[in-house]
Amino acid sequence: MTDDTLAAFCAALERAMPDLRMTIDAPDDPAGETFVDLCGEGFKTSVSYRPGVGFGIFVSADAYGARPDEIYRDSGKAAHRIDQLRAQTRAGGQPARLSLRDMRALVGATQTEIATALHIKQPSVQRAENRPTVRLDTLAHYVAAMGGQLEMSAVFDDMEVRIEHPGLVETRR
Amino acid sequence: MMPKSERVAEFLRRLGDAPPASSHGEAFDLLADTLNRVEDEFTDVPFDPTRYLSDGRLYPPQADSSRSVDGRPDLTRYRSRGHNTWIGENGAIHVRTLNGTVLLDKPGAGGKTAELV
Repeated sequence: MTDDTLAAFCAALERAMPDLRMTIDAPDDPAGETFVDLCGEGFKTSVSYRPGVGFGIFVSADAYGARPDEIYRDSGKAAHRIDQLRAQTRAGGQPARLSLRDMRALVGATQTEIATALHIKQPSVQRAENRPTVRLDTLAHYVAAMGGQLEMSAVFDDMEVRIEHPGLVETRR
Repeated sequence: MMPKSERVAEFLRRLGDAPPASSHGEAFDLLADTLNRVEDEFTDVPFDPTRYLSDGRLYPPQADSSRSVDGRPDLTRYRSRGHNTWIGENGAIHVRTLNGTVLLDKPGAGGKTAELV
């Protein structure tokens, strides 16, 4: 990822949100962390960019030294995600963590395409996206149908462990 | 785990109370050591500065993210999501939010602050 990647991100933002004001705060070292500050119509956020790593998007409340909540290696997906967060703000809400529906939109898949990949009906996908609870194997298959891989970990005061479960293993690439 | 806002307040309190630094390098290390100690003390998240994605821990500025300051060759600026941190060659440390709220204005060992307008 290079300056071209950052330029592509900015161009994608301008196309999708032409009213958004954008300021680039670049470090002296081109390999360092650049910030793109975005502001417009009640929406304000900053995006971090590290060459070779990707775009860091912040969703949680700010704190000194906090790292990004989401990483995108694709400039188009990063810009799309900013558009989603702005839409949440415009609708009167607060920027929220990625939902299944938003994740599907980012990868450009329809509910019908996911349903076909999972050999289920489209309304079942719709229900999975809207339900407050979802079966672990359903979630794993949903993510796999989009080309991703669901991982699960448990964090304790004195240990942090990746959890293996049959529902996850069977979808592993 | 103590909330981030309380850890940041503790970090700023300790940094403000620490003996002043006398150089940029000392100040940079003082800031990093102070934040890392607070995070070690009040979180159980292991220190992993190579991790870009949030792990719940707060990290000090990194050297490769420094910015020159126009007209102030004695200062270096470090940017994070919502804050700027200026460190002076005299060891002064100045932290403010992007909207201009000053959180810390610590003088260097010679008694001078970063003297930002």
